[in-house]
Amino acid sequence: MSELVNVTIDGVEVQVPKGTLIVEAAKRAGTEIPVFCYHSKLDPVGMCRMCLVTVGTPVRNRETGEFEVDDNGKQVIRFFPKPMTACTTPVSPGMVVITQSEESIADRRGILEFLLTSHPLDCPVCDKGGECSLQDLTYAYGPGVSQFYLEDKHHSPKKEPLGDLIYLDSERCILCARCVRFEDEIAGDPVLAIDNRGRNSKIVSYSNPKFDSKYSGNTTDICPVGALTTRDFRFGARAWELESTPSVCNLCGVGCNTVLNTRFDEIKRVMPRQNEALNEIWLCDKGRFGHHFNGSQNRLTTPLIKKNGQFEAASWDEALALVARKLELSKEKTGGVAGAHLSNEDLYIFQKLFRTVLGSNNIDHRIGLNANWDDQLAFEVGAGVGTDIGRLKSESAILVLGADLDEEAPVLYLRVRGSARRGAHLINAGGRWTKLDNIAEKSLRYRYGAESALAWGLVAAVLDEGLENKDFVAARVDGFEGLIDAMKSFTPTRAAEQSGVSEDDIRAAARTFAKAENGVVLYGLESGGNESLQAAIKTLLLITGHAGSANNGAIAVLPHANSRGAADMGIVPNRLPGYRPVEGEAGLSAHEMLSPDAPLPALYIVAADPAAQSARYKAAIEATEFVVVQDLFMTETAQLADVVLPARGTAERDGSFTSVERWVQAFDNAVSAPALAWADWLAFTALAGKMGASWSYASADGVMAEITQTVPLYAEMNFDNLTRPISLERKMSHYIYSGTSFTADTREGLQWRSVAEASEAKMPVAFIAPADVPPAEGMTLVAPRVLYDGGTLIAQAEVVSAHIQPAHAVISRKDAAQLGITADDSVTLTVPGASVTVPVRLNGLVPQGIVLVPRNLSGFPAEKLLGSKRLTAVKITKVPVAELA
Amino acid sequence: MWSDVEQKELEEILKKYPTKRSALLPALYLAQREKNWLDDDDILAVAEALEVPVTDVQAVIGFYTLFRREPTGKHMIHVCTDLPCALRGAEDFYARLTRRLGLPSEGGTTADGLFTLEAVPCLAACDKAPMCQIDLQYYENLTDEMIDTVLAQFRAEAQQESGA
Amino acid sequence: MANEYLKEHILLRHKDIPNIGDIDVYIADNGYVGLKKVLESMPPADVIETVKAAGLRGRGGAGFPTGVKWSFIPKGAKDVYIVVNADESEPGTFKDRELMEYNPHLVIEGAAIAAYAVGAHTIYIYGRGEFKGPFVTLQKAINQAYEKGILGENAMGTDYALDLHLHLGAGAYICGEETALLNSLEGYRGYPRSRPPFPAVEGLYAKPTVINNVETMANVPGIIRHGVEWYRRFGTERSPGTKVFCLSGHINRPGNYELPLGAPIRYLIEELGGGVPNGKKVKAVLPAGESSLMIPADKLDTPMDYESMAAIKSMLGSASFIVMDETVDIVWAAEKMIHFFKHESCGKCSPCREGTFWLSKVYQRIRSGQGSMDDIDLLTKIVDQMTGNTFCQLGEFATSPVKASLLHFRDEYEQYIQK
Repeated sequence: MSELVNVTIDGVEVQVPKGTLIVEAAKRAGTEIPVFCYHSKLDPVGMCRMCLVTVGTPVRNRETGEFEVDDNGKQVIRFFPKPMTACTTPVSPGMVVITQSEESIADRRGILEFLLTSHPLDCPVCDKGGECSLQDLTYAYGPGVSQFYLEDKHHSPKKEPLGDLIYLDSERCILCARCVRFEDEIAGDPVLAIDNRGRNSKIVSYSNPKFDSKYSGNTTDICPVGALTTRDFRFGARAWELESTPSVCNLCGVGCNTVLNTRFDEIKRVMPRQNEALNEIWLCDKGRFGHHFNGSQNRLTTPLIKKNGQFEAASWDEALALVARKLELSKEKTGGVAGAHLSNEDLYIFQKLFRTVLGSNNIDHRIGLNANWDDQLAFEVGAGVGTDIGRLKSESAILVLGADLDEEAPVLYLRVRGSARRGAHLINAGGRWTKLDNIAEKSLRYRYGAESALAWGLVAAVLDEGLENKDFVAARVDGFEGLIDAMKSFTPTRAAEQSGVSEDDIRAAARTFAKAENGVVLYGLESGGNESLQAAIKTLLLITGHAGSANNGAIAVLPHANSRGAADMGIVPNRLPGYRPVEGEAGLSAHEMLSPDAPLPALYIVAADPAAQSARYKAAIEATEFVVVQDLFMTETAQLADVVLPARGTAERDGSFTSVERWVQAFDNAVSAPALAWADWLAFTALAGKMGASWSYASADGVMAEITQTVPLYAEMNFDNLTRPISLERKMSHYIYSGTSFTADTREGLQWRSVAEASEAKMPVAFIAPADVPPAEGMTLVAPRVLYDGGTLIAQAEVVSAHIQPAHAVISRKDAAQLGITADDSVTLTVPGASVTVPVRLNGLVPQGIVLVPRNLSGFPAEKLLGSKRLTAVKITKVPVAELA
Repeated sequence: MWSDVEQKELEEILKKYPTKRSALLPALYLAQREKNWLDDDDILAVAEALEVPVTDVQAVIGFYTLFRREPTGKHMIHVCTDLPCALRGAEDFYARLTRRLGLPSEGGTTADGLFTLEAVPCLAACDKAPMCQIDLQYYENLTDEMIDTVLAQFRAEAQQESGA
Repeated sequence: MANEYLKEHILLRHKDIPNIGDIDVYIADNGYVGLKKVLESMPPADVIETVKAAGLRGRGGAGFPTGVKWSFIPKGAKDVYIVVNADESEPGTFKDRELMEYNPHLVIEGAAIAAYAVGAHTIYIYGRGEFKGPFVTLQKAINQAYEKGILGENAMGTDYALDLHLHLGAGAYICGEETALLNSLEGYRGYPRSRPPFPAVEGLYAKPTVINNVETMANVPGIIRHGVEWYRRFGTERSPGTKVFCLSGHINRPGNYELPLGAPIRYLIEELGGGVPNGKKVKAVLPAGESSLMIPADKLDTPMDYESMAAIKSMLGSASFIVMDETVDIVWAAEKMIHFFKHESCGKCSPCREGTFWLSKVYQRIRSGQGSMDDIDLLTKIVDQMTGNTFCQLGEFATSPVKASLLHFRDEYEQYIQK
């Protein structure tokens, strides 16, 4: 615990940690010092001068060092001759702060008058009106009139695009630089700056594309005036007319808390909802702008039955009756694919339908390139409940392995970056450069395919140097001696040879991780996530004692909003809900179900579009006799279906998601769905009814009630806890100190406990040799995930759909030079049985010998080339522009 | 975009500092030397060479008056009209010079593209007013005749160059 | 003889020995003896103590005791830097330029001694961009010093490594403010930094850094060569040593003059400067450039030292005396000065950014005959709202022309309005 000091603020004495800024100490004393440039998440700068206060410190006797007292026994206070900025001045023992002196009041009035000299006062038409710091603080502290002459005001364009999502109105800007500082400090995207100087200062972006950041929307929240507005909310509504519904973002696995602001049953904007344990007050642009798919004209609005090759509208009763009849025939041979952005309730009922009504274990949520990743690490040694990945102490170590967090889990990137920026040791291991390398203490660049060799190398180095946590090993680890034996042949030297990372680097990283007080491993899609890798990470965590408690353990950076929940709910062919193995034989995986060589008699595909991803899947679906698709849109897969059922989007219903950090969080219904669209769980329940089951779930919380009964992991996750009433009223102080994000509230979700923390039992460790990967001949194809995917939802969200890149391949400049390829060329990529032609991009940061083809882009070239594989040798040939034409 | 000579100079500059970014102002001077102003390519080249975000490079250029983003005349004439010089007739000197160069009172570039004239703040030669800097070289204790002679020399040089 | 107060020049030594810019001439005149002495025989702490005892005060304007500044560098700190502030941009100031152009080795020697005293091995001289010319001369001198082995891996043949680099700014008055200078030197916009941390703890590249003005450095070799007692023979008890006084404006012989601190203003203006041209009278004097509060003619007998100038509610600052004769329109002069500060305000803090802009608007109004009596009060109000509230001193200085001109010459404003 840091040293505490006593300070007196407006007569109220408070105790705060040494180094606390006056503005923060004042909050504790019940005084809200007005600010513009200060923001508690940003480094203080003292620019706006709004927070000037009178400050005095006790006089010390020069000889004794004691505080001097006057005749009445009171400490003698000497006040500084000039007012001090409360946002940059830390408290010191005995400090006296006066915020309400006549002088301070006059100073504030003066500062406001200065700021308003360049402000247009167009509050009646300003989007910020009603939640604007400048408006509120002027009302509270400002002059009633200004002596500034109106004709002396400067004029500039009212609507300058700072990037394609954000507009700048520099007339309104008060140059607090919060936006610039957010991008520099929090996002690590130095794409904004103040240009010119003095009164001509102006916020600019010259990156290409402009304002090239996935976090740009946050600047509009923390902008204390209406200078930055989002493209989609501009003139959209007045803040006070909006209704607010708490929700959870459904566009990646982080689980950011949001508020859906609606008016006339339409989502006007999505705002971050403060949750310091999860997204703090941030939201990525995909989460903020991606909601526009809800209101798309292309939504499915009615059940459809294909008759003579044409879809015809049908009633739910009619459609479900047909489905029931058909599935009665296919029964245990039915296959089910459910996308991982369905809620826990949907997924639970889906597997219940398959397992109890149909008697089939043929269910899966992983299609295409995710197919081989079956994460169990989080179940066994998941980062302990209460882990705060954004505020790990400087004695902590974070190992990121095969995850491009900025693309795959943006707000998690912000949080890891935040910990690293404040001193936590960040080791970023990847096959290529990713943005975290900018701030990582150590970057380990391994050869693709050698992820588990590297991870076992870290284990080997810990063992070799005797750095294991002996107490923890004695108490909690089973098979340690066996591990040492088994690993005799796998030395750090061997790991270095296999992985391409130097032995020194492996040893240094192992030391950092082992010696850290806390250790967290984040591993992602690009790591492959095979059994050997998971075993290595588990072993590393257990032998270093980084398991079973808060701020220790693994986080699997799974791809979708409810990938974690899908694993929890047993949407895999080999496990029941709660990670229990199925009795008897495992069912088929999605990849096996979608085999054109052995098609199943019937497929039920929900919130997934396998036909778009590969010709193989498409052929399999075409070969399947009866196909039901349930989705929001008429996807490629839906077009092949016999019955299409319209589903509801997240905003149109309630339910819960489980985040990658195992936070189970509920979302509420904010807007109406198309009249005939149903929540997925309801459709499954109704179908089960048609097939003889008598389930009586009235609502999503009814389903959750059953989950808490039947899935021990979820015993505490009932909807009463998750859906506590939530007050979204905001106080002025929130705009001033945080921005327009919604305040923290009681509803923070619940986290389930991993095996390591649920009991004191010993956990087994065992060496699973990494598959030795000889360096591939020629080029290797790698398919990274990018944030703006070409999948079903974002493509329908007009505001951000422009951010979806066209399909392309990226190679290093050196390879390009050797192959005679220039940035204007396209390339044909060939693997046995498949070949695609895409434009090429050159990038100095891509390692030689690697071709990156992002997955989930239009035409799905990566998926077509890889099938269910993660990496493949690929032949690359240049296609000159002329030939393409 | 760097010539071999410039590349060498840049490497020498970089040796002086522990961070690449410290070389930003010197690198911008180098990039500006050839044509007196900085175009987008110059900025990209500097940003890349020093690994400084391109937005930051632009913002730094915008802060300092000696970097220019627009084409100028071949020679930059800076006349100080700040108070100490003005007390010694610098404002009148400047006004007369604008007229003789056929320029408006706020200065600008001459029709022949040879000179860009600007009135600037103090240049640390207050005791030798009226004064100016041409391409950052001092010309002090000036009279109209003296500056005319200097400018005539520049014109003659330019003519010689275009003749050759 | 230099003048009545000083037998020979110490800082402007080139006025006595014209070729002293050449290293051989400099060495022949006892040059680099001070550096040799400290490197060979004085522990760094003794150097600091000597400079403290001499009472040398910073010549850049603030007058902070130099030895004390050096002593703030944490003991045993690694990677300490010396930065010489040669960003001389205050209107009316041109002394550092002359020192660098004509007596460069004195500056180099002073900076080298300072570096040794605080344990620095790298010195940067940061000059304003417009000093490209003077830097050519200075660079020649530095090259000579390297050739002679005075600088380099083994400074003066010792095992102390000393490097000195020149760095040009690019046109921004604010970079004379020491933390803005550091940002500029690091390749950033010249915004001043918050203090704490102070540069002595976290300065250049976040390392302990001493920043001293060119003239301050030029004072150091003499103190080391001749000792404290010698140095204290010049100047006053609290303002010891000599100082270069810049004299410009309405004066017969403008230029730089070296005098002991404490000599009266009148001596500088009338004896050395030859008085006001054409028999005119002094109306007002700006004693430290445009940043200072102007003083009326009746204060010319004030001694030019830090304390005496403060006592008449002005300051010695950089000692840049701009003389204005009786014909000067004070409102015009004030407007010019406000224009300067508006042009140079970095824009980081709102009171300076908006205040200087607003002031210039009011001046335009008054000077164009559109002003009202209320505008005079408005000027006062604006400067009150700036005073004490700006991020750095620039904003504070920007109020000086308004405050002093209204104090001494309010009637001239009224005349403008009544016209």
